[in-house]
Amino acid sequence: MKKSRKTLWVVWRRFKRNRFAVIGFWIIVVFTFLAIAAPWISPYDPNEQDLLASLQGPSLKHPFGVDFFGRDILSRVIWGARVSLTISVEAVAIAVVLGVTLGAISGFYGGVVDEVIMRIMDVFLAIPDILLAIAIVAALGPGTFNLVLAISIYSMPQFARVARSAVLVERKKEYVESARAVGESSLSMLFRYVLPNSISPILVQATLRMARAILSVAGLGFLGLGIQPPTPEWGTDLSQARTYLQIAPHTGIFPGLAVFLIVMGFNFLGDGLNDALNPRLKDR
Amino acid sequence: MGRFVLRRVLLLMPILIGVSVLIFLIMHLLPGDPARLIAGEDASEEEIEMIRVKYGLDKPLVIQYLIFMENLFKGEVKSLRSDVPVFEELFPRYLNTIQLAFSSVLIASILGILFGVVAAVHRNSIIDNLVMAVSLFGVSMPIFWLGILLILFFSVYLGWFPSGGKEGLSSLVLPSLTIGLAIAAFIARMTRALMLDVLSQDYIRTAIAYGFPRKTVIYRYALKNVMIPIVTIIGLQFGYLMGGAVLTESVFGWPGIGRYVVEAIFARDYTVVQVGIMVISATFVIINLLVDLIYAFLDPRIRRG
Repeated sequence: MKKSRKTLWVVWRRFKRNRFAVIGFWIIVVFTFLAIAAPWISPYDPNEQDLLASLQGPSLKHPFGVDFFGRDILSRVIWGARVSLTISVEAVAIAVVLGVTLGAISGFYGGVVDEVIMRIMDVFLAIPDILLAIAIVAALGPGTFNLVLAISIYSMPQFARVARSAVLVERKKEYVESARAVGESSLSMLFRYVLPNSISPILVQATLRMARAILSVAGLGFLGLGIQPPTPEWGTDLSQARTYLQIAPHTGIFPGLAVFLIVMGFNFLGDGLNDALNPRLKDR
Repeated sequence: MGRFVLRRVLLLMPILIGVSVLIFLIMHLLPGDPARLIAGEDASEEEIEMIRVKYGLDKPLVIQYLIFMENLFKGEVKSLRSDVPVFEELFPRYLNTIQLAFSSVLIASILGILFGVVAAVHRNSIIDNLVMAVSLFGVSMPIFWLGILLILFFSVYLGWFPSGGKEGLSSLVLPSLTIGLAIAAFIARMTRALMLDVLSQDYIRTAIAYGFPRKTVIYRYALKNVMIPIVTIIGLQFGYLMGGAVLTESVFGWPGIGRYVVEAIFARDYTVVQVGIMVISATFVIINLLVDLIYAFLDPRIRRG
């Protein structure tokens, strides 16, 4: 316990030295706060329509301006954080559980099991991720649940790969041999010792996958295949804004800026975690 | 080399078959009765039954898959909307997507390699920092938002290029710039890292120590060695490109295969969706293979190893 706390401290110090990682961390903190506190901090109801104000530019009353339906864009951006983060966190969590389990089994048992699982994962990886998501949503229809499912399915193979290679490395270490020698069963060894020691590459992958998940939520929304209006979602709002770019450019700015910032936050954080957890790779 | 190519091509087959099975299965997750869907809302029970038989929907899933693949290879799979063979509608759109892809890769390669090399050669200079900062932001840029920003600046504000459609070369500029810039950011980062790596190698330092002109060393020897991994990176970006094309085509109303698929989803034309996604994925897989082969051709260690 004491040792692991010390390791964490070292990792934290290394992490703090990376300016971009810290920026990424704070971006995510801010967006998470917006997502949680949306009902209290959003100046208007995100679906409240004031048709007289339709397409008004930014002002003191509406800092980000008003969209075509007369809705306050700032409020929609704030509520959008909640939608986007919830879906992405759920999707990545499911992908981690499925992918890590499959990858760990694959790496731990090897042989035919490994071959079968990894070849199936190869097939998933052969389809560009957004297209796989489009196919799933096209078949099941749009909606929150289907969106979570689509994103988690295409993210899963990445975790399987990472977990597999991590387990392959750990499996050869002495403590696994010792555990085996004292008669620990394979499965309990896998879950009690091997996986906890493989956590850092999985954590890095999860952070980077959050960025892709958020991009997919917005991308599918933009195509009209994601969260359906009037729910505030950045991608959906951007696709509506496209129609009015000529007369109301501001409608095309802020939802996109939100996607950009949070994706950047997760990318920075992921890279920073990677450097902090695997110092050997730092200069590469 | 011949054996190497043959082996790689053979290895491709199971992946392609796997992809077609996976997409076929996904499309058959469809809730509800597909025959009823195809027939439309006010079809009678007999009409639905006829459609079920016509499309082979009364048969087991494995047989349905085999029938579908047979028809696909014969070019007889038809769009549910227009009853025209899918390939007939798909081919011109596919060419449009390829056109967009190539011009994007061209832009991305020129900008990415140029800025990557300049940044590496002038390490820690203002140019280097600027290139790194821009590319750092670039890799997080949602491609559809970048498209919208380019429309706002070049089309709405400056009025230089059309904001959408496909009329002449000028309409190709903004969509290819959108995808090209997004990939260029990534290529620039990789080029810089690879170039720094090569420049620190002994043979480069030796060459400079022997008094070869610095420019010759950098551009003839170092760059040549960096090009091999860069070709791979550019090739691997095609997957991103194909996915990105779906979004970019929707931003700019570019009549490519990505937009065709998305439109088909809304029209519930599932054969088009299925064939479209299969074609895009196959393209992606085949391009990855070509990249591998080019890599092996450029670097003999791979094909012997």
